[in-house]
Amino acid sequence: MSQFIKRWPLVIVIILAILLLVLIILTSGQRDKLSSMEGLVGEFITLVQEFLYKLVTNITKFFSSFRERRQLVQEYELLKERLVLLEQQQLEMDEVLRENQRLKRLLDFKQENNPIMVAGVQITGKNPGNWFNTMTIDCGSDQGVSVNMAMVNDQGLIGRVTEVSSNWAKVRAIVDGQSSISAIVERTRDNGMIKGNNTFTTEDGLCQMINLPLDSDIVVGDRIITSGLGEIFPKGIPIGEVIEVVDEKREKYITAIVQPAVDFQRLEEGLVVGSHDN
Amino acid sequence: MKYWITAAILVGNMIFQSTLLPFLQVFGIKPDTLMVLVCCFGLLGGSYYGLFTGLAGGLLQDILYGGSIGVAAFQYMIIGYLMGLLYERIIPGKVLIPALSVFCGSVVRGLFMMAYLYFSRLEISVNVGLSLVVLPEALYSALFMPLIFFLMSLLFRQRFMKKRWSFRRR
Repeated sequence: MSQFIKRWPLVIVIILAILLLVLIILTSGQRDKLSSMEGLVGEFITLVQEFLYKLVTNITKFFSSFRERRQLVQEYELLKERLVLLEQQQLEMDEVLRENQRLKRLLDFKQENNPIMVAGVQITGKNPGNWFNTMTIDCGSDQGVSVNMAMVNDQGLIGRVTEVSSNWAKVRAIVDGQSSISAIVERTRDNGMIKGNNTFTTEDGLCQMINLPLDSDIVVGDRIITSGLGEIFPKGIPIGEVIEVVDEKREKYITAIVQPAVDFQRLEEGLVVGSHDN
Repeated sequence: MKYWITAAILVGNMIFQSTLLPFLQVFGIKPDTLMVLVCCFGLLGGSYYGLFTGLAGGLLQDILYGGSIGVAAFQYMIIGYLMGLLYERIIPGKVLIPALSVFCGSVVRGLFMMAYLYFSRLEISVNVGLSLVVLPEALYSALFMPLIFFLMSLLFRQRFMKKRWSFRRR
């Protein structure tokens, strides 16, 4: 046998290559659960990763804090002005809310259940390659995370949980080329799909909103939120803002370029939420 | 001993790649240090060594971050094997050829990747893929090679790494 191996190295390479190709094909479909072997490997690595990732994030934060200080002062002044404005609006909103509640009760509106929520999820690592934007988190099925739940932080939607192990899971970011999410334009209520910009590799990448109807009057600055269609995600999670509208007459649909609300360079922690139908 | 050290380097690299490397990116491109390592192992340890380190490193990456298992393993395995064919034909101490081999390896992997994306029905134009991802990544990785190759050739001079692990007859 060993003689054979020494004499025919190319045969070994070809056999292994064929085995791997079969493995690729077998695992290429949608898999919800990771195998126990994969789970074990990930569990060990996630532990070390979590520690290192936090360490490095803190170091980067420390250095960038100098730069951001000046900005902060300006922002502070601006925000103070805005606060006054917003307080005013809040009062009006409260009034509308109360009115809405009254009307809802009148209509015997079926109250939506609270979404399922897993809090304090730490991101433990990002995909090392330049092709995909996936990451690992330190919560899994034991903590209540399941496939197709949304990962969000205070800024907005980060991505979708694609595979789950008992204590860790994989999340595909919305800027990943393979990601597509049903969304609506907040102002006009037009439906479309948010797809990651796959060229694009850059972590501060953009998304595209495709399949917008031709008569849509979407403009730069419009906010995009999740639609809740397909009952995968809860409705109304902010996704981003339109920065360009591409209206190609040949196409049957309008496309918009969307800047995600989330800063993908500085991800640390978030929430995992799912609609109650999950 | 040799196996343990190799495994530790691969796992360590995986952790390094997913935690520290995102902070070293230039224009959104990260160097592929696994590629650099697999090339080093192939050049310094022979075909078998390159083959299995590529396979192991690729599998690890697939399990943690890949969608379908085997994509990266396949690519790194082939490249590790090809690098091993140059084993003992390059002079340690010279860095140009190793750096060039990393560049070529990265480009080959990039082409593999674009083929894979094409068959997964993801639209990607060849020009954009090449100019925005493949070539910058290859260049950036090649820049890393001299340092890592130097460190690895020091490691391979140790006696415990001398155990032959290649296709050739002893």
